[in-house]
Amino acid sequence: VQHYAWKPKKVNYSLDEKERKAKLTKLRSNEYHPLKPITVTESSLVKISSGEGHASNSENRSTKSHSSSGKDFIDPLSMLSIEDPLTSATKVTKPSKAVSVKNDDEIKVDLASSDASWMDWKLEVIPRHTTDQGLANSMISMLKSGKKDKPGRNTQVSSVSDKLRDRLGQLDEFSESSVQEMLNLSQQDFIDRINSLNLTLTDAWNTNQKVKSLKLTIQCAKLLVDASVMQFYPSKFILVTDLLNTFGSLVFDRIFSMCKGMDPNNIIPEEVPESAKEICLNWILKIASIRELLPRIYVEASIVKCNEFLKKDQCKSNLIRLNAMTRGIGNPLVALYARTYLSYIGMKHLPSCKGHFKSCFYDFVATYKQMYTTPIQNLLAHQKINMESYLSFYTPALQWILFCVSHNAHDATLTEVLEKCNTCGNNLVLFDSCISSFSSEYVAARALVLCAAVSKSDDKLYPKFRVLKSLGKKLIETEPPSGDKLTILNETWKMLVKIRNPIDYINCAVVWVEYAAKYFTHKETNTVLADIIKHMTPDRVYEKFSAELQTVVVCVLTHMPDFRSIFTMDKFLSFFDMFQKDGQRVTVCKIVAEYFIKNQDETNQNASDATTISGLMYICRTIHDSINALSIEDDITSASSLICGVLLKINFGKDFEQQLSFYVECRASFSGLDPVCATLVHSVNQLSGEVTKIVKGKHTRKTSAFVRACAAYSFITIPSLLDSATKFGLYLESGQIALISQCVSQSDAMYKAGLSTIMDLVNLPAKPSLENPFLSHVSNFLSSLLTVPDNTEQGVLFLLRSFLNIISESGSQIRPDITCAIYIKVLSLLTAYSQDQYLYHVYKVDSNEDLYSNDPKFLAEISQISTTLLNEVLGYLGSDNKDPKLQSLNAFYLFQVIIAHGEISDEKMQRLAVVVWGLSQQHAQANTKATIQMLASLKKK
Amino acid sequence: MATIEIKLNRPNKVYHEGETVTGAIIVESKTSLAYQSVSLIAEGVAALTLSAKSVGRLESMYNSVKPISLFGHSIELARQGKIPAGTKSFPFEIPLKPHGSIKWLLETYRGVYISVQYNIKCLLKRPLLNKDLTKETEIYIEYKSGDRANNKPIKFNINPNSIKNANSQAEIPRFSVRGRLDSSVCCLTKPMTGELVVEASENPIRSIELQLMRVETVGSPDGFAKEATEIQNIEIGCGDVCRGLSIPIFMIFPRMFACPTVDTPNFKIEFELNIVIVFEDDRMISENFPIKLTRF
Amino acid sequence: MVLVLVVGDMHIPFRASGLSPKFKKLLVPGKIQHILCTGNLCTRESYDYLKTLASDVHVVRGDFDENVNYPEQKVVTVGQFRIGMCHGHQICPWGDTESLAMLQRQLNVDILIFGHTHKFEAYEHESHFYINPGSITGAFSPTASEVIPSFVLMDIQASTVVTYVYQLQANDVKVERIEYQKS
Repeated sequence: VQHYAWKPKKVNYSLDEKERKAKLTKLRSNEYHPLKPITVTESSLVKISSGEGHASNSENRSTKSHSSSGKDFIDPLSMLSIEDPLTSATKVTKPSKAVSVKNDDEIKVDLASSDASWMDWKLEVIPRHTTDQGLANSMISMLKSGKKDKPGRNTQVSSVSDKLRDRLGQLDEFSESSVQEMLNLSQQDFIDRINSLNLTLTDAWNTNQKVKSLKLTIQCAKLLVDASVMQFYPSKFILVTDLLNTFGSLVFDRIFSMCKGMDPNNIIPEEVPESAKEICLNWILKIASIRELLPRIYVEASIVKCNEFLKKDQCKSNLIRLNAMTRGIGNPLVALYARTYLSYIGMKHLPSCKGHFKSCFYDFVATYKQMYTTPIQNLLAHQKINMESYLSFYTPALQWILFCVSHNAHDATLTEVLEKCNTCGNNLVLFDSCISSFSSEYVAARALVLCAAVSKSDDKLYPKFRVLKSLGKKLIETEPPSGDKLTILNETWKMLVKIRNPIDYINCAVVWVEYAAKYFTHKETNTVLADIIKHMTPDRVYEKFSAELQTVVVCVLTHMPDFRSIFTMDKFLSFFDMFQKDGQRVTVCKIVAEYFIKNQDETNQNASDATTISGLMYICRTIHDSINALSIEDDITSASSLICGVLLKINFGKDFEQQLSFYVECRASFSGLDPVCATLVHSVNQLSGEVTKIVKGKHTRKTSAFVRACAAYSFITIPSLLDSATKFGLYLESGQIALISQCVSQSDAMYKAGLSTIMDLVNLPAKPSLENPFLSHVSNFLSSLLTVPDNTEQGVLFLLRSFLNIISESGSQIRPDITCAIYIKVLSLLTAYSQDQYLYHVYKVDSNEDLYSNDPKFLAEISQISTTLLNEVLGYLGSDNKDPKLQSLNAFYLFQVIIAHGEISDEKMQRLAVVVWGLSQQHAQANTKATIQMLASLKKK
Repeated sequence: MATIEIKLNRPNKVYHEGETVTGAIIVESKTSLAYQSVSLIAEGVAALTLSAKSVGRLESMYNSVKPISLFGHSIELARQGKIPAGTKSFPFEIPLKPHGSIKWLLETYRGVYISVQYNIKCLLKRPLLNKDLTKETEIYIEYKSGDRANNKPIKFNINPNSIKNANSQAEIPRFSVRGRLDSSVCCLTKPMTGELVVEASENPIRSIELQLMRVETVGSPDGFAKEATEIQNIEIGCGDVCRGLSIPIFMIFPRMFACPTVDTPNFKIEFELNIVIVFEDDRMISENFPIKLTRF
Repeated sequence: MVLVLVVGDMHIPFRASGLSPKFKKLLVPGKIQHILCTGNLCTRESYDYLKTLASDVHVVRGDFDENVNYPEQKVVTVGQFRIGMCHGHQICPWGDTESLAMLQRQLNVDILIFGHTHKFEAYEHESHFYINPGSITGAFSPTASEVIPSFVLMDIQASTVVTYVYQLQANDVKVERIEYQKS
């Protein structure tokens, strides 16, 4: 192989840059660009397009007209926005329609809202009143009991409806025969049954078996007579009333379909055809003759709206009558749920008529004493239900009725209702329901009075803590008058302190902690926390309530405005002593860390005060210490990211010294987690860069000492890391930042340290078809070297030489083709070294071009190294027994570098290029497309 | 095939004495149809039957059980003609006037032993070998005027002392129910109303019911059969109702099965209301209130 | 027409806490169809943020990206254009026109997008187009502590790309544009 010398091409980078800059057009503030917020220009567009008149087509037209006249930039984004005024314009042209549509919508919304709140209510009730046996379990018991009880029953039941009637019969039997069996019926099971009944009902209706559908409905309503399984009653109620609603709307729709062109919300009886009235009357009379009271009330209620077809306001008077009829129901629970349905029907059809809601409630109050009667008491004793849980079956219904009472009601009404509650005994359950149902504004305004009332009430039958809990929840929604806030807290807490049962205590305390945290300073919250600690510590009861205690922490975190006040509370961290089980404390610490990170993100703040930081450090240390050699990867990752997240949010602003000493402390505390250390190095580098930026490159003695300290920090910290790629990356970054901060010798040290680890990267896993990661690191390193000035004591291009030594001495550790590629890269770098002005510099740092300013010795040195390397490469390319594909790829690469960086006008270089081209084509392995492109670009030259 | 239909101009088919029933007979046929005559017969009959147990006793008064004709009217609407394919209507008018000796048209009523019914029957007579076409429909007669219901409330107290037919006072548990019926002369079209308060009851109550009874009397002044049967039973209280709370009495009178109280020499239709209280132990107490029903 | 956002070198959270509010205001969801990112997002959060702006996000790996699964190079086709992406720390020397041209030829693309120097550039070279969007956060670069935050938006219509560069200078957004026509 012939000996070739490398001749670099001279480039004037700054000229290129000037030319390129000149081609950019500066935009004035009023000129279009795609991200411009929509402004003036569009208004003219609107005029044009609305001038066209045909609103429906104008979208397309305006597009066309503009692309044809398209001298201006067309803004597709603003065009989209034009559609709005256009469509609204079309609406204006038909005002009558638009208005009527609007009205419809409003009414629908109103109706929908009552249905929506009913739905909300149902969703709240169902899970609370579910027996927790699984579906499968109950299915099995169902099957078994079915077989056992009815050995002779024909299992080949022909039609679906028969089957259902059969089941319905069974249902009745269950509820009568034994409580246990009914309990075994899972919620889902019952839902399924009722749903299929629902289907049968519609089916019967659609096949014109109107009487059958009525019978089915009555049968279903009869299910509500039986309240022997009270746990299940609220859910049963919901299921049955769903079916009743279906029936009601079927009847109504049928009659309504005979009244053409009438508004369902404004039925004019005079305009209803006689035939429709006749059908309606028939239904009403038929239902009025249902013998049993409860089904009659329910079914009548379900079709009560049909009365509107006969006479104006008939619906209202009927509701009032049905209400009165509920007094005939002996079982107070059953009666209450019947009233609940009536309230729902009233809410749905006559939301404006409010009187009957109140009478619903008053009737209940009148029958309230019923629950002490012998039949009820016997039942409770028989089922082993205590008064407290018995009363809890009332609360959903009471809450709904009171919700209806309070919906859009005057304060006077609510006050009247409360007064009424005050007058009867055992009124805590009533208070509870009132508080839960009334608007939070109302409750908040009278919280003090309520507090006093609760405190006076007797809590033998219904526990105070439930009421307090409801009250607390409302007060969290709406702030009570500022004068009352503290008294309320004090009064409540007086009652809370007396609660013996730790479950009840903590459930209630959770709510009131939130109240304290939301409306008071850290002082009051701290007191509250102290009391919780006091209550939960005896007998280590806290062990049982870690979930609740965790909620307490979350409440405090959510409501306290800043972390400073959170950590100012001495009881906040003492609280953590109650989390003693493995992992619990760590979990809570992680929650705190998450909240902190999120909170700082949202407020865009950084913490800097000592209390907060020491608190956070406690949290982070706890998280850090939870990680040990046995921890799983996920835990380590999440712990690291939380700690990093917290550390990154701690910022002392311009007090850089303190920031650095904080990082020193962190390093001591979190040395066990690699990602944290890496983050610390990044942060310190950032700190150094920031200082350099602020002094605009002119360091004082103090600042230069500081940036050196930063460099020292990085230099000390990096070696403790385990991952070599991270290490190398950090050395490189630290070297770069040290140079930027004008710490030339520190930078040198960093690069040297980086070099010492470079060989660890050789075996990084490479992905197929991608550049070798080692090569990529090396390349990055080499590019970085261009900015580093030579250390005069260590000779020309000391770092590069050391690097080349390492490569050449590595022997077989590096694949020969990689070595070859590295050498070719170095050729590019050396070319860059030999320019008069380098491609990039570090501000205020003289790089080699300034040190040597075209010193022939320096250039000769470069030339010597490059020639050596070139021949190494040629040697590799020319040798045998190598992978021919890689060989020709490298040859092609070299060829490109020669064209790109070599002085082609030089004859020798031209010859070299020809030779290398030959080598690259030898095995015909090169990237053909790139080859063609290469040739094409060569031709242009 | 041809069909025949009686179409009345009033969809609810309710008429009053002195009015004229108007309508038309609609004949629909796919082919042309020949007929001999189209005629219409309207009849009003009070039918009386005897209950099984009183048959023997009443054999002597056999003729008094004969149906009583209240009203009759027949017209021929057309004579010998041919209807072209399609629909043809024959309008008609029937004046509603009672038969000679009958003073007024009784209201339509369907009871167990007595029924009052008004039917319109049309007949399209066809030539030999062709089947005649007939159709029948019922109209409902209501009084145009008559006794008015009053607003004289009846107060009542039911307690062990008020019960007349009890064998032994001692066996009856202590209880006290008071209440009010808003009137004992009730308008048929309006619900019967009132209220009831259980003031005390030693035994738990199972239910409180309103029982509407009809009392039908068939016969003459010298001998008659009187039968009381239940028309409807409406529960107004279920379970052990709350003491001291006023429970509404509310009942709608069923159509057809109730009519204004009738008192003729041959038969009587009267009504009664029972308030029935059933206790948990299956004991039952019933208080009877004769009531008069009116149309107005 | 298609809007393609070109961004990169965020270095969040290590070198910058986030984007300037002025930039955030401009970058609203629904306007942009594609995002090409030159890398050094560093954490998942930045990627998620880009995802909120457009569903189609392409990223190549920078030297500090946590996610090692990003490719080193990528080619994306938008309309008539083949666009190559590479972070650029692998180019020696960084940002060198001739070295980049070698990569452009290797990927056989019309437009080459690169980063790493944190310095905005957009130019035509040998009838191909080169874009460096700079650093959108103004994070310090390997050679400078003071960096002008910038990003690029390409408006691609048929065979024309209008490139807008948004730079934050003295707290004001300055916009420049340059047009490139595919030959």
